[in-house]
Amino acid sequence: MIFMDSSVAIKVENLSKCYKLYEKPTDRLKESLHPLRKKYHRDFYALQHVSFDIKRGETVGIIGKNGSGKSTLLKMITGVLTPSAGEISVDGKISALLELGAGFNPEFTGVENIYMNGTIMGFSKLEMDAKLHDIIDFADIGDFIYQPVKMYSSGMFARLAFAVAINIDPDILIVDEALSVGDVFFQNKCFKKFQELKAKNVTILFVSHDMGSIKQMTQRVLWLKQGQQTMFDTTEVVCEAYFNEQLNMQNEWNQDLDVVKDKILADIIKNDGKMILPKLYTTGKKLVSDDVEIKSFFIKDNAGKQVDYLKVDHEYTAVLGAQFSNAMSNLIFGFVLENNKGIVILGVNSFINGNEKLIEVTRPCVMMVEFTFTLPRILKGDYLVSPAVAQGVQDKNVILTWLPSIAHITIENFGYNLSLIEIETGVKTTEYQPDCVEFVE
Amino acid sequence: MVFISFLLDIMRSRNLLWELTKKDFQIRYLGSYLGMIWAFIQPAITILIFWFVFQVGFKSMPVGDFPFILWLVTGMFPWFFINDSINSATGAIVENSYLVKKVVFRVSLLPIVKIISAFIVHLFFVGVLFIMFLSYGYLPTIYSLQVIYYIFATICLLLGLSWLTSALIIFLKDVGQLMAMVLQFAFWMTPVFWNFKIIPAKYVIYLKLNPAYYIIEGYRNCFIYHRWFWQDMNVTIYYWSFTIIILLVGAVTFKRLRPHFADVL
Repeated sequence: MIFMDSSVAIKVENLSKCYKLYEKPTDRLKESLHPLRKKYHRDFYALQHVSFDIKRGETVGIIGKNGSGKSTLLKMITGVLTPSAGEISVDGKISALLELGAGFNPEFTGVENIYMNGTIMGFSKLEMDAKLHDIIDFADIGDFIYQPVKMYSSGMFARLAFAVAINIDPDILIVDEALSVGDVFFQNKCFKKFQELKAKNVTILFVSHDMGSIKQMTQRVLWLKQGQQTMFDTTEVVCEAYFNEQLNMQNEWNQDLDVVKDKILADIIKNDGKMILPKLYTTGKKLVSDDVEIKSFFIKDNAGKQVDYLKVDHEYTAVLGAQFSNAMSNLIFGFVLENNKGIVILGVNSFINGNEKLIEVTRPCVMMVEFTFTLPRILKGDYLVSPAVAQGVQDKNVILTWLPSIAHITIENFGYNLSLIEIETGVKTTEYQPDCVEFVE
Repeated sequence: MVFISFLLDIMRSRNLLWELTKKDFQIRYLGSYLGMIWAFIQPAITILIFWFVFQVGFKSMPVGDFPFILWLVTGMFPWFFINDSINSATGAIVENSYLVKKVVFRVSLLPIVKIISAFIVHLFFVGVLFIMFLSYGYLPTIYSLQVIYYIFATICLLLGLSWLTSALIIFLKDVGQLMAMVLQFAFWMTPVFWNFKIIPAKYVIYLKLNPAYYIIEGYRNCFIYHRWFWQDMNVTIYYWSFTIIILLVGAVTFKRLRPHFADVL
């Protein structure tokens, strides 16, 4: 036992989890029963030297990429997994939502599982009777509550699991990415419940990939990278560092792919009169026709510098370079911008935006199309761009080539970021006496 | 000491154990119209077939003064108990892996749940045993009470065995097949169907090494031979030494392997 003052709910000291990787499952058995403790494994550290403490009533987020050890950490705090080294002290009753499902038996109905979970948590049937109503109410999955859990959709599953977890009066609530499967209404409901629990001085520990909810909910954030504790600090500090790193990684990644050797100036004309265009690397199967190939696609700013970090209200030019091996007519060039949820935010093409003019190519050539636009005030975040070349008119065309999600850009918006798009709006207020106004049906 | 604290632990979790047992029954017969009745029908049919084949068909000779069928079922019922317990308890943890991986739970209870389920079915058959004897005109004697002792002895052995097998099978799937074979073998090595008096005296000693022998003959001591267990002190001491060793080996194996369950399942 390590010393813990009473304001600390969870104390983790120098915690490591080493997974022993065995060649065969029997090697594990041999090793654990071997009287001389011979080694049969390779070590893999899922988590190494993690130390932090969480105060009672605090909400702490855990961030990091897949495989960084977040779930392993939560499982060890919960007690499902045994640490390989280090100590964990937990003061208070834990209710955990690990992965999807909590300890649900798929054969039982929702109600039966509620009781079962209660019994496992040490509640009597009578106590659970009292909680049943709240749980069913919160889960809000209708008559499905009387159906075997195996019939549930993953959303229903999450709803029920979450409803049980928060209604059994935990001192510490641990939530592992379970909310992301719920719909917006449920997520909203959960976050409201979080606030309620926070007010009751419940310690909450949760993993999320959604930086928005991390920022909104937590006071402190633990950032894990490949099992190592990168940072444990206030939400603001960690989120900023995390975001910065992601940007850097993005740039490094681009360089790795050799999209552009030097990103200073795109489409410049070299001394020998040749124009330089960054070559687009396409991987995987994409719709590519024999006659035309999109060889280059990038966005540059006013100064001609290629960018993948765009600011709203600034002017940019998207450049599409397509190589034609034959003469073709009735061409349309364009691209769409999608957000990370796959919603098309912007769609631009040479037909709609170019006075319904169709472009013609009379000989094999490289056609460079430039779209100059001012980036509207859209929500900040990550976006994907997909360029395409089609033949025909807007409502009747054949797509010749289309490179879905070929470029990744990050948009920065220093505004409020409350909605997908912000617009300039005039606001005028006028006050009237109540009896001077009549409301007619 | 350890054993006492273990018993206390079980007492404390009796609520949970009971709930789990109920669910276990429910799961096994979920969706079948006759539900739990199946737990009793199957052994009953087996007995009926045996009765028909041996009593009516082969006209088997009574064993001593006892009708063959009575002699047979006193051995058959405890064997069903042993067989069912080991078969179901071996897979108990694998079957409930969701309890190992998702929640903090005393996993060692899971094999116990299976033994309790089998025990409940067995209790019913012990009742049937009394009724069968009554219907043949044999009244219960003071020796019949001994059956409580033998049930206890059986449960102790089963507990040790099932901890061992239920933990091993997680790492070694072959344990399941192996146990099925061992049980098959043990069934014929145990004088359930045949009277050990037909075996030459010099081999009897080897037969007595089989712990199931002690249980099956014990049940017959209660109902047929009317002997007390302390009248066969050697076998009793052997049985308990064997059982305690199995219990220790089972408990230690389980404890050593327990931290790895969640990693492997």
